[in-house]
Amino acid sequence: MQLSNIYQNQAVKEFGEALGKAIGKEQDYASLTDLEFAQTKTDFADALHRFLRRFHTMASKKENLWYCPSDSRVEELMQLVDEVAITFSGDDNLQYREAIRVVRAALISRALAQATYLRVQEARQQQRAAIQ
Amino acid sequence: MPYYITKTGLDAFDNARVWGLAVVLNVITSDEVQIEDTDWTFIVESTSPIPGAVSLLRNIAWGSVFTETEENWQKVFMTAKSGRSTKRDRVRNILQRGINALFTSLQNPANTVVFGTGESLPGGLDPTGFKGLRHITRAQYKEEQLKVLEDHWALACLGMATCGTYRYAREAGQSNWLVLLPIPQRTRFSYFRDVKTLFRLPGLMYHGVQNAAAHYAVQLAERLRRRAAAQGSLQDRYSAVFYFRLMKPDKPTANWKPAQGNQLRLEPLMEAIARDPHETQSMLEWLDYCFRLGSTKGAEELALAATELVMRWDLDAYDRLIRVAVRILGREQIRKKNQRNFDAFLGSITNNSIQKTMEVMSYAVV
Repeated sequence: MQLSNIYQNQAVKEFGEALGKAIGKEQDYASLTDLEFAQTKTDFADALHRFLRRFHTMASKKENLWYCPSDSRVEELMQLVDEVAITFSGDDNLQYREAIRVVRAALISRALAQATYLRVQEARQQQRAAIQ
Repeated sequence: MPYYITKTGLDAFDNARVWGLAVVLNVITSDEVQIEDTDWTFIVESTSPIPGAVSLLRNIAWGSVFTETEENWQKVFMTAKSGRSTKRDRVRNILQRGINALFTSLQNPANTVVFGTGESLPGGLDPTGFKGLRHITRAQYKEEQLKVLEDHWALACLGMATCGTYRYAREAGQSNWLVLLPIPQRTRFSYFRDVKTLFRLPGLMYHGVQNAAAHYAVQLAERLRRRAAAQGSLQDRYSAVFYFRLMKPDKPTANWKPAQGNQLRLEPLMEAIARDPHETQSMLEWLDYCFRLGSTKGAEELALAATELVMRWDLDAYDRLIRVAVRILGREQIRKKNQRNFDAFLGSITNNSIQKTMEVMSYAVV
């Protein structure tokens, strides 16, 4: 399975965009680091759940409601990890480590695009405010 | 009529001869020249026929080849302690005198280059020209200069002076020259000034020769992409960028020495452009701004991560680049130092640019 196909996955899209919002608006690099350190399937699932809880807290404080991915999206992401793992050779540990790297790369890519979009919007608003 | 440049294994020397021959044929015919890499040899062919006996002596275009590339001639012979201009004039005289004999020899597909006699290969042209690299010298430094036939030497010097790129850089208290030369795969050569434009390098601060070569590759790909978008398909292909670095410590008696060199494969970028020249634009723009912003103090890791990706096109390199890029977003001090490139970098990151980068990786077999 190619990285560009995983990038199009709906769960990756929703989770990645949420991560992008957390980074772009709240400077939540802790969640990013948490995901980066995950090496096993359990670690990765835990990191995703932890991020989701943090994101719910962040979103609840916002005046404009943020869309929060549901818990079922975490399950979909873990299913995706399973699907990607079988495409790698080697023992289970190796297969899952590689699969997590690929899915995480797709997630961070989505987050990068979203965080950048928010930064650009923010800069434009600041420019408009300065002109007015 | 095809001319054959048989490969000798000295990459820079072989490629410089190809470019040199293309320049000469272009000057003589004032028409397009085609270059094709066919594994064991490069075939160089002019679109217009060559008249029986050729004279370069009163050709105005021939004169301008030397006057307009003066700076590069000095760099080609940078390892010579004196007489650089004399060497340039010698190249000119050799080609003016022996071009017809050289053409006859190069028409033979089985032509070979004999080593051991003729002119010394300058270190500024090919790093293998340096002594001490080809044999074990043990305690004594007795290796001879690498000598090549004078007509092939002249062709190579001409090719390097017209199509090579030299960039000065100072690092860790020593002087460096970064040297870059594109390797053609299937290319048309119209005019040597076009080649100079195609291979121009922006005035950035680079972190080593690999960083410069990777940015050079992205810039070259973008210029080829624009042509491909205008023409409907990718007409000119380059297989790699050959690069090497020459260094000199800060001592009055020190000489230039080769430091590192390699080839950066261009196939992944060429394939991406060939598949879709329009859609590739966003990806090349993103990579370009990674290099531009990466030249800012404090953002070096962005340039190095982009370099790694362009050299390897694998998941490790891609993973590193996006992680670094995400962290760069939050660094206000970099924004303050280089506002223009920071904003342009932000503007270049889109779902499309990321998707296209991923697609190059999935096709890349480097």
